Amino acid sequence: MSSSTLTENALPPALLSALQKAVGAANVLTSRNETTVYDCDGMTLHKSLPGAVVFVSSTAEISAVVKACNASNYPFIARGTGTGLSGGTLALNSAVVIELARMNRILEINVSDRYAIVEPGVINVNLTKACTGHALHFAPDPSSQGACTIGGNVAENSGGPHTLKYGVTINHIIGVEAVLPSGEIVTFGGPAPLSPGYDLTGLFIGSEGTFGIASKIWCRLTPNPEAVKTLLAVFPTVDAASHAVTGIIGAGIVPAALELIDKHIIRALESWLHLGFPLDAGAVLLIELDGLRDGLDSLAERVMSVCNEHGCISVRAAKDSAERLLLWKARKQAFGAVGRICPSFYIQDGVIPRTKLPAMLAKIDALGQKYSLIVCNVFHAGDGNLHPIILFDERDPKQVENALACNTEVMHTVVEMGGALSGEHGIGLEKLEFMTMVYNEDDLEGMRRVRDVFDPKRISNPGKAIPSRRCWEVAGHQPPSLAFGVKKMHG
Amino acid sequence: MSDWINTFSSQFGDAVCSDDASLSAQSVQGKVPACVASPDSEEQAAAMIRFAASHKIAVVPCGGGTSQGRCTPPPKSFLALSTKRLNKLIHHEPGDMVATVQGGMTLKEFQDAIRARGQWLPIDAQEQATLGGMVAKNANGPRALGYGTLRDMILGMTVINGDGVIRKCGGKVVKNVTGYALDKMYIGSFGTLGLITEITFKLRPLSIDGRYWSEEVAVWRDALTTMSAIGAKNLPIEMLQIIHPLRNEKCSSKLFISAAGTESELNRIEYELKQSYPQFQFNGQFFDADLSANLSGYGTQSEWVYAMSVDSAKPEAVLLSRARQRETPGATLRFGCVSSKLVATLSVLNAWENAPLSIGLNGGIIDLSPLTDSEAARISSEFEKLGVNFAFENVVGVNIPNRWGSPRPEWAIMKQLKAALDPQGIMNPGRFVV
Repeated sequence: MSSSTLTENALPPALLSALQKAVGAANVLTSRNETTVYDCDGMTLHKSLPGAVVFVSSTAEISAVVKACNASNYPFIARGTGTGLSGGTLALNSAVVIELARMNRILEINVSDRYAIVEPGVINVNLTKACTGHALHFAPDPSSQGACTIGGNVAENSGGPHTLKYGVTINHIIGVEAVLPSGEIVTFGGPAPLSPGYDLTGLFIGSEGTFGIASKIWCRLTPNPEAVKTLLAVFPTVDAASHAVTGIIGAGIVPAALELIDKHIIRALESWLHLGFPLDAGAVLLIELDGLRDGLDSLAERVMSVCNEHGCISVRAAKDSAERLLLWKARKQAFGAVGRICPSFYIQDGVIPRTKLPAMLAKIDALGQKYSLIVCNVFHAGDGNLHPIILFDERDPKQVENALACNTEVMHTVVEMGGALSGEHGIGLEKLEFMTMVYNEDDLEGMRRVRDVFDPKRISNPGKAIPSRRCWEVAGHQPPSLAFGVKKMHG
Repeated sequence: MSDWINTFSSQFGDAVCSDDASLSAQSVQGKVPACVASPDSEEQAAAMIRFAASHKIAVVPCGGGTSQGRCTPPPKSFLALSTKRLNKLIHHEPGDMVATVQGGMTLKEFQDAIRARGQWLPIDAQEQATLGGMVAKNANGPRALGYGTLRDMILGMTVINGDGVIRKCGGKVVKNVTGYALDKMYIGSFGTLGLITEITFKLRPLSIDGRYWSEEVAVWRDALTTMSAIGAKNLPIEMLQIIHPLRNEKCSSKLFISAAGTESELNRIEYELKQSYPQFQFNGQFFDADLSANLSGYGTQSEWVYAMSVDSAKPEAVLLSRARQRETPGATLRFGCVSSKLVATLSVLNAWENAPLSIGLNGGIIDLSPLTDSEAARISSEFEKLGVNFAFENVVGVNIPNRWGSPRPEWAIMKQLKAALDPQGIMNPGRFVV
């Protein structure tokens, strides 16, 4: 199922010529056969054909391409590897996609000062791999870290399981060189602290490509913990597991990671990876503790005690590094494992207070029953970042309609519980319609004013991140998914 | 009395003071405001700012008054906008380790309230500083080593911008990418974008145990190598500082380390320190009444007990009080550098061997007095060559045209952001880099 624009939209000739001059004709794709590969990101529900895909290899080339788009008042969007889940790199209105994958060099690793300088196309996990031997790593670890780029992490303020203890991307970026929508190249922050003025590095991160394009990134490197202990706690129900999560946090324990995986995902993973996961479990908690080895055993005992208080069937520690890595492989590839259950699914990203976790999961379960859909859960329970995965058959319009309606009700519940629409996937296009649930017109106007400073022409990923129209217009619309018109791929 | 003051007073009643005593009490860097306003609600504060905007009156947000000297003096005529009545704890959810508080609450009041439920905010600031002021100045000190900075602890904020409109950003959960991170922009904006009226913080559980190690050193530079080496060891310590005497020149300097955790963790840290640095004793002390014997000459016992347990901004506070009593021209220099350049950075300050200071791995603060214009210019120039960020604060009797260094290209964007959110340019005009 897709909502592709089926016709090729030709770029203005002057723009096409300028793009070809900037990077060479061989690095500019315009035919539909070539650009269709870039018509969506991880949010496959929506597709839009780019006007062109331009491969860049340097900051200067990014600047030249952006200047060309600016001169033609033409929209553009940067793209890394297209793993985003909110339609952030969807090329609306035939935008020019500026593909950064070739800018994948690690420019410097400064071990003594604990930072690295990278190009935006560096794959997240590759930075940590490059630090092997220095006992350092790049802490933000999204599940897609084997594929996503650090430039994309910056755009979305990506998270991951270990953000519970170590923070999200914004806590690990100390400077950004950016190409503004004017084509101007500026630098925010840097390795030395106390940069004078406003924290433009912090402001830029999570701006979803609407303020410009990060062309160079200073990443803080985190020392590896001396010791790690990974626990797997098995619970009879999701409810028991969620109460254990609130119990752990309520006890003042901050694990390095605290993930919940429910029975649907357990079964999908077990049929694939054969980890020995209990198939009759309602849910498991993957709990990681790290730090000095001297304190770890007593901390693990405290955690196990809380799990037992909340009715866990069993709790054990991974016996060695190999088992630990396998457990994390299971967790980080859980989304992919969903494909064994159902070909189409819709992943959400709301965040709620940890204290509301049991109630929220019960509500999600009830909504699944209401709409006759299976909803799986595999998520960052420790910081309340949900990932309900709504399963449906895209060939059945009724299921599609139900999936979208279920999504809307889940979002409403998240907001009612005092939560946030997105913890790490970003607003993109997908959640734009819900922004007026959490921000009023004054709030959004303030954000628009800030956006106008960076992008007065609204050419840098327009139509994403924040509603550009008055809220009443947005609130009155149907969800974009339906407004776009869901079409069958075949027939 | 100016016309606008009459109108302002009649519109806002007893929220406004214009008697001499009140004005003097709220003076900022020796300048007396035209009027002092203490709104009792966000709506009233917003109306006051709208009034100021329409009459083009400069507004200086005032909290605990601990850090006004970090900026340049206010303009000749200004409205002092006090947050003292916006001082409530709105919500504390211990189970989620989140609290929402009004900007006018002091750090001490806040810490006392949440400490009762086993939590705290690990930020260095003086106890009478308000939380809004702490955010506006991006309060940070020695504890940044162990806990990070406010950027890592703030979840959301409500700010009344210079157009008098109340706007919120962020949220109340510990992970959030909904909308732009305007809260990050407001941190360290020194009141130039608006009045911070409400902040939501991510809290920490109080640690099970805490210990400090304080070692005398005859010459503080001799401890630099040890401090750097300890920093490289990746021990979970919260503070690592060299402190040079702040009051009594006869006292030696201190290498100060503190950590929090379980007894086994603290024992391990102490073991590592003793093994690696046998020239020091590193006998750990607990945060209790015995502090005075170890820190004599640094203030009263009660000051330091509280200082080392919560308010680790005490060195800065003493430097500030020293600045206020200054009889010779001088300034407090705050600087930040990468750790590998710390020695080179401090070499620029070779002539200031006996100046009171507090430094960590990535910079610190030093009191420079008597300071000449040319010496300030020399330090600025050398620091810029080294890539050191700095700010001259609490400046008295010295002409320092660029207190934050030479203008940088990105400041143009900051000016535009200010113009966007403070169209009339009334919020702390001319007091910061923009």
